Order: sequence, then C-alpha cells, then structure tokens
Amino acid sequence: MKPRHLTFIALIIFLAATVTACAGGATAATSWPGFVADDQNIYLAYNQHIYAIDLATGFEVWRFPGEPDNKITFYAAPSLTVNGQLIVGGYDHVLYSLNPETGAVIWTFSDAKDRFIASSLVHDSLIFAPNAGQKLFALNDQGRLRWTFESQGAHWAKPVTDPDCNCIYLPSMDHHIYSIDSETGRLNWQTDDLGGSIVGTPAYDPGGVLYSGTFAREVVAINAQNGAVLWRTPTDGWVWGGPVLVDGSLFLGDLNGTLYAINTQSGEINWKIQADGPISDSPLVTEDTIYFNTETGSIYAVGKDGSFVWPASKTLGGKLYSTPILADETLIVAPVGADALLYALDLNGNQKWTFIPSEN
Amino acid sequence: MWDTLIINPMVNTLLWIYSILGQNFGLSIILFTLLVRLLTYPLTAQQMKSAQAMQEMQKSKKWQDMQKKYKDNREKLAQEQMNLYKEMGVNPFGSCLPTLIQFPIIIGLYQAVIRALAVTPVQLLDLSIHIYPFVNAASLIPLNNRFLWMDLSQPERLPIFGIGIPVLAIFVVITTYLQSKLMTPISQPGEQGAQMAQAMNLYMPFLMGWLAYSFSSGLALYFVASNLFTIIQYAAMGKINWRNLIPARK
Repeated sequence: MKPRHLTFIALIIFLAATVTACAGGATAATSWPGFVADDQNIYLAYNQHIYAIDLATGFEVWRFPGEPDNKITFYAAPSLTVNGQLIVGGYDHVLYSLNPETGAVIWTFSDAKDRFIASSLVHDSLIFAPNAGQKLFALNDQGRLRWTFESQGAHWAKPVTDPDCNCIYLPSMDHHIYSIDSETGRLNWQTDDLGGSIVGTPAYDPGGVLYSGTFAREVVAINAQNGAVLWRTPTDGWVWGGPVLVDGSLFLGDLNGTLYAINTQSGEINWKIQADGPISDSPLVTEDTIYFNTETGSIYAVGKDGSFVWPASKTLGGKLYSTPILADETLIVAPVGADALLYALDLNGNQKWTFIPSEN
Repeated sequence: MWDTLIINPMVNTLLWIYSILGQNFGLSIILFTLLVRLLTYPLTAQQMKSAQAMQEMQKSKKWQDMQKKYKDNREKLAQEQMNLYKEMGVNPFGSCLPTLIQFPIIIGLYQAVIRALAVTPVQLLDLSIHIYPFVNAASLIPLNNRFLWMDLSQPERLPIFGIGIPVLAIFVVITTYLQSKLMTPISQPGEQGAQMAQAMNLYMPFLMGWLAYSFSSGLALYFVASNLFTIIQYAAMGKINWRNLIPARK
C-alpha cells in the first residue's frame, strides 16, 4: 500500500477515534446515584451495581451483580417492600426484585422496552414501576403484571399514592400529571398541559391537593379530584426535584440554585435563599432542619425560617445531585466524581465514614 | 471554548428550528444542514476557485516539463512545484480547507444532536444550562426523536423480514461516493492529485458509512442531507463532472 494511502487511513482512524471518544465509554455514568436505607443497611444504585452497605460501619455487605456487566446499569433509588424485597429498575429495561439480606434475585420483570429511570412506588402488595418507554407497569409482589398504563411521554419520576381514592398520581415528561385507578390502571383524569416536563415526585396533601414543580419554571397546585390547577407560582429556574410538604409549607429547589419555602394555601413564597449551584433533587426536611445539595458539590443545612444552621456549606468534592437521606442520626450523601461513593456525616456535617467500593 | 463556540450555537439553532418546524427533529437536522451549507458557501467557492487554478496550472506546459525533467528527483520536483505555486499565486492547500472545516462540524453536530435529544438525566441537566434565553426549551422538551422509521438518538436499522438493515448508512455510502466522483475534476492518469482523489473516493464513503452505521441516526441524516445539498449546489454552479460516473474507455 502506498504511503499516501496509509496517511489517509491514519487520518480516518484518528477522526473515528475522536468521534468515538466524544460518545463516551459504554459504562460512563448517565445519571446519579439513588439510594434508600432500612434499619441495617443502605442500598445504593450506581452505575454497574446495587450495593448494600452497613449503616453503622460503611462496610459493603453485598453487591449485585457480583461481576460488572456493561449492559446493566442502575441509577434509580431502590424501593423496599413490606415483605422483604428490594425493587430496583435497570437501564437494561429489567425490573429486579432482590433479597435485601443477600442480594439474591427473587424475580425479574422483562416486558419493558425502555429504561427504568425512576424509582418504583410500592403500595400495599402492588409495585408501580414507571418506565422511560411511556408506560407505567403495575405488578404484584411476585413480579406478575397486573396492568399497564401508557401516556405520551417518558416517566422519570416516582408516582405518589392517594390511599383515600385508591389512585396514584403519575407525573410525566409529556407535561401532564395523570390520576390512575390503582386497581385497574384506568385513567381517572389528566391535567392540562402544565407547560413543561415533570421529573420530580409531586407532594400529596390528604386535603385533596397535589403540588408539583415543572420545567416551565413553576410550582403548581392541582385539585386531586379533577386535575384542575388551583394556583401557579413562578420560580427562577426549572424545577427538577419534587417539593416536600411539611406543616403547610412546600420546600423545593430549582436548577437556578434557589431554595423556596412556599405557602400551600396561597402559593406565596414565604422565603427563598440562593445556593451556589443547581438543586436537582428534593431537599431533606427534618423536624427543624432542611438539608439540600447542589450540583457544585455543596451541602446546606438551613432552618425552616430560611436561616443557615451550618455557618457555611460543606463540600466533599464531586457533584451532588441526589437528595440526602437521614438514617439513625446519620446524614448520607452520594456525590458523583468524589473519592468515595457514599459519605456518612453527623448532623453537624462532620464525617463519620465513607464507602469506597473495592475492586472486583 | 468548544461548547461556547460550536456546541451551544448548534444546540440552540437546532432547538429554534425544531420549534418553528412543528417539532420535527428530523426536518430540523435537514434544515440545519442547509444553513451550514449556506454559511460555508464562501469557503466552498474558494475551494472551487483553488481547485480550478490548480487544475489549470497542472495542465500548463511548464508543469508538464517539470514532471518529466525531475521525475527521478522528488525533492527537487517538490521544490520546483512550490516555486511554481508561488509564481502563479496558487495555494496548494486552498481546496483542503472546506473539507477540514467539515470535521469539527461533524463532531459538533453529533454532540449537539445527542445533547438536544437528552435521553438521560445527566444529558438533560447538561442541556438545561446551555439553552439561550430566547429558546423556550421547557415547552419543547422532551424532543420528538422519531423521524420516519428512525429513532434519531439511536443507530438506524430498518427491520426487513426480521433483519435490521442500515438503510441510512447505505445511503450515506452511496451519496458520499457520488459526491466525491461528481466533484473530482477530470485529471490525467498518473497525476499526484488524481491519485489522492482516488484514495479519497475509495475510503471516504466507507468512513462516513461506518460513522452512520455506528452512531445516532441524526448524524447519518446530516451526512445524507449534506451530500445531497452539496451535489445540488455544485450542479447549480455548473461544476459537476457527470462524465466521472461513466467508466472511461480503454
């Protein structure tokens, strides 16, 4: 072959390699960690594994699968059932039920055509699994399909349940919230177009009102009987995480980095504070403190009046997208791109332990 | 810098076109390609001018004599050629620039399509911070990634009798080959330029076809549209060599 041809082929390979590099590796993280805790363990879904981590020590109890598989990744926070199952959806279009004590597979559900980005809602003996393929699957606790509901958009948010009316409320990226009969899967009502996608779980007030943030830079209050909008409150940026309802106030953050406290009756903003980066998930609201994270890697603790509890935000390195959780007086956060996958902090923000997965 | 100069303008232009074209992302890519062709027209015109000057120079007696005189001394030949380029005011790389410009556009468009379609949370979060204020992205998202039989965020395959046929990648190979053949000036056998052109005509369609086969079909759609617009553009300017498609008689 002539040297000129070789040069040209080398140029082609260089271009192909450049474009391929732009596409990223097969296991590059496409979302952020999701995690949940019970009395014993924290269950963390991130990239190629589900990890069970001892809550007291931070030691790994088990991981699933034992060996990484490039085709299987997990990001949605697992859900615990009352009868001892850990439900977690994968980006491989499969919903898994695992034994929380051992990580062994109890059953799998493989009828979905797209990824499970959102957590499943577990209510009574039913599992409601939203899927990015525009469907919501209702399964019994043996993994058998009970019914399927289809909308016009992907579902990236966990639904919320209303036990009084036997219905669930499903937010969708198609700009609507759907009320669905939890027994039959039949549509009760759907909202009008809310102006933007909903990727956070709405807050439900047993008084009959749903509250949700949208990409249309708004928080909306919706009549849970018929889907009518009761009020709208503008925000500075897209609202990604769902609002948290406590004592007549809604607490939520937006991608502009603003944390809001909103009066549920009027929709008026009681107070708001500016953080140092986008807030992409719900805050954690305890009896007297609100903890929230920013994408720039800061953890804030503020009082319910908007005053700062910690004099300055804490940074651990990496980016923080997921809601922190509180378990046994321990604050757990899961940064992306930091030295460890999990950090356990005391309520003053001091580090108790970290979790760094061992190499396989 | 790359994001600011290449990706963000591309993403926002795509979103803006998408909003005015009835939320059809496939048509948005095609119209975007047309815009790119129009914007790079001055470069295309310069390329044609340079190619024509080069072709005329290579037909000149002085050039032909030089080839014969220094056929056994490549170093001297190269030196004399450079002198002739200078004497006749021809830039030997003038016709390469528009081709090189295509590379960052291809890479940028691939990233822009993936970013705009935002099929994962990280991509969508990333998109949210790169949207210009005049684009009402909240009302557009999620983008409709369906176009004809394709999911524009995925490599394209048309299932025929249970087999996924990469129709668009085949179109990319054909149109790239046609474009290369039709736009190559008729040259004398043995010319250095002709040898390079032959190499381009041989390898480029397969490179583009491989990229179209492997990456999102949005990129493949750009390749096909770009090739067709280029052929139409050159045909309108009377610069197409239709005789290149007919095998030469021996």
